Amino acid sequence: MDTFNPNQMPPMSATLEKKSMGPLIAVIIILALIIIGGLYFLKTRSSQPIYIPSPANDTITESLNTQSTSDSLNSIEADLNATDLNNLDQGAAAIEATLQ
Amino acid sequence: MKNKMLLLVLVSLLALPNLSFAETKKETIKDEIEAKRESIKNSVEERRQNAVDKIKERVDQFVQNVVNRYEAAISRLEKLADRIDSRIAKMEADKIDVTKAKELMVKAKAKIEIAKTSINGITTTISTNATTTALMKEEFKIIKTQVEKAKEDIKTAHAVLVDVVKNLKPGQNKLETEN
Repeated sequence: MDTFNPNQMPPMSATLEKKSMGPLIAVIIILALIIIGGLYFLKTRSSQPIYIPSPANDTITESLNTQSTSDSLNSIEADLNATDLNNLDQGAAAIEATLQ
Repeated sequence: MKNKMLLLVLVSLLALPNLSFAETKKETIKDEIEAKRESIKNSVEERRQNAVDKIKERVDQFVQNVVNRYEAAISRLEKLADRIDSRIAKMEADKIDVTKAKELMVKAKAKIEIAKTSINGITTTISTNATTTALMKEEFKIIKTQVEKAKEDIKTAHAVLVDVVKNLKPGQNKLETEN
């Protein structure tokens, strides 16, 4: 017949302490990884060169500089219609976003 | 009792230099912490300044690009105006009434000049006083307004040139039918 012997029971408080430490360590590790990842992302992002088209390779400027020399009305009309003035200030939104 | 007194004096003599050493060490650590703090502060300030400089450079380059585009647009409109002038002269030589077209050309050239003035009015660089992104944002608001105004003026000049061509069309059609 088994008799109850409290000395044979594992120490309850130690087990509980061990169990509660596990998730805590996991959370700390995850947080540390997130922070390191975030810092790495910020560092990479800040070191990336921002592309700003130089006048030499700006397609909008290039297209504006190209037109016929003919004085026929059809040719003039075609060039007038091909003059796209809506995108001249393209990039302003990106600048505004940078300044936010 | 005498022995006790002697022991006390001896202990005091031994402890005094240690206390003084501890004090010096404490002072040194304090100085080191202060120096470290100052160094971090300078480093943060330097990074902030670099970030602000980069943004400023980007804004300046953007505005310069836009001005270049606007100047290219004006140059295009002026060339188109020259070609239209040439066409008007030829049609006039063919006895086509180009009075209205000529009037519109005067208007178009005036609008081109207005657009040029607007482009010249664009602030091409963020001032050195704008030392924070908030200040730069305020300056960029003003620049953006100037940029939008110039764009509208260019569009207006372009629209008048389109009107001139529209006005010349019936005369051109008449000439083509006659020939």
